[in-house]
Amino acid sequence: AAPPEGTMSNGVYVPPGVANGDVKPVVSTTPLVDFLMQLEDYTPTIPDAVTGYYLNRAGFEASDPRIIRLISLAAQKFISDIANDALQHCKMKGTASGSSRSKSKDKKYTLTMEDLTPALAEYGINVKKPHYFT
Amino acid sequence: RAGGKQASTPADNYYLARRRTLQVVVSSLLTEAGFESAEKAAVETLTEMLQSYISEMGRSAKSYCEHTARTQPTLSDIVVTLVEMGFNVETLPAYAKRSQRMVITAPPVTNQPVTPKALTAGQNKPHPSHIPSHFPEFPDPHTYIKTPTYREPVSDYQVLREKAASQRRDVERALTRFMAKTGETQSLFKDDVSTFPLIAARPFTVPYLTALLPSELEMQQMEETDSSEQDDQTDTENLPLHMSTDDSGPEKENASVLQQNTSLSGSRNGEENMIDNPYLRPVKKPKIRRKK
Repeated sequence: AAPPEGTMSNGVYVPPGVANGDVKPVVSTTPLVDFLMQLEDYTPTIPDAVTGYYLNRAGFEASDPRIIRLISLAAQKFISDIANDALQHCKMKGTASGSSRSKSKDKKYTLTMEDLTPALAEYGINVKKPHYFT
Repeated sequence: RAGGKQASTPADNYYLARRRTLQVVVSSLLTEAGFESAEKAAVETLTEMLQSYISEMGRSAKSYCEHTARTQPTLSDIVVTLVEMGFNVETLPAYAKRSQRMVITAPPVTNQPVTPKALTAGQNKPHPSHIPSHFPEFPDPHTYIKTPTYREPVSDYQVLREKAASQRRDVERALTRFMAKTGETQSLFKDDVSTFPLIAARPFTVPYLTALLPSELEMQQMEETDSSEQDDQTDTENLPLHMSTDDSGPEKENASVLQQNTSLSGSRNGEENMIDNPYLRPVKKPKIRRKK
């Protein structure tokens, strides 16, 4: 029987509660392995050559092209998450003044720095751009 | 690599092509999110973020991989990297299934910029043995070889003669003008004093003296011929003669200045005042001692 808390015999720290199923591991690679198989026919938006180029510059030599696709997909998701947050900000600013609901806010959303800055701040990225350029 | 406003070389284009692809990707993602347009600064920001995100993932995955004494990264390394960067891995499959549109074509594969054959000149120096072969080659030899060039001096007889003649004339002119400006002058024209100054001629008290006495050169020759006779008396005779002609010799050289013959000592003093520079004094030949 596993000890309720503390270290196990081989030195691995096991948080209390694992035994009774309260704590679930955050990451299990099993679904991702399946996902990796699916990636073979799925092409992410970023071409493999470009991602591979930047990975090579960082010293990452990819043996499996699917790994590259996984990384490019993760990067894509990262950016689109931020874009969605910025869109939320944009929509909030639009309807906050109480414009007419019939048009449901003009369909044209423009990404501006004013929307991007608070979206990035939630991720801990602080951008400061000058309002004017001399 | 910021892709700013510098002039782009072929090497820069190599990097810029990929960055532009990233920009296109960012634009497509924004369009997918629902934006119609975007500020350039915002697109640049997101492009920069995307590039650094990919680079950071590569670096971090490599570090994790090497941390476990491997060289080839695996899925687990990527997963750990994603977790470290605060990425929720479980949502990834859902995201992949969500959008299957928008495929961007890869940028054209360009080789490393190579200098065209027409521009290379000469043989490049081969690699020494301690440099591996995959390193770039040495530059063209003309970029570091220095050959000094000298202009051949002019040796044309006619040109040289002309140069010598004009130089002599200039020297004479300069000297006479200097003498005219510093000494006494007589004017050629009655009214106009400054245009043609003539150096004032001082009349000799004994005008025929210069005609009677031999010049310095002749004196030296006479000395040499006399020295071959081996005679004491001629030696003593020559000495006073040599002394008196010492005054007249330099006088002839400074033709415009006359020293009074009455006082030899005074003239000698004046002589010393005139020629203070030892290099300008007349050459004194060593006195030839005759053995008795």
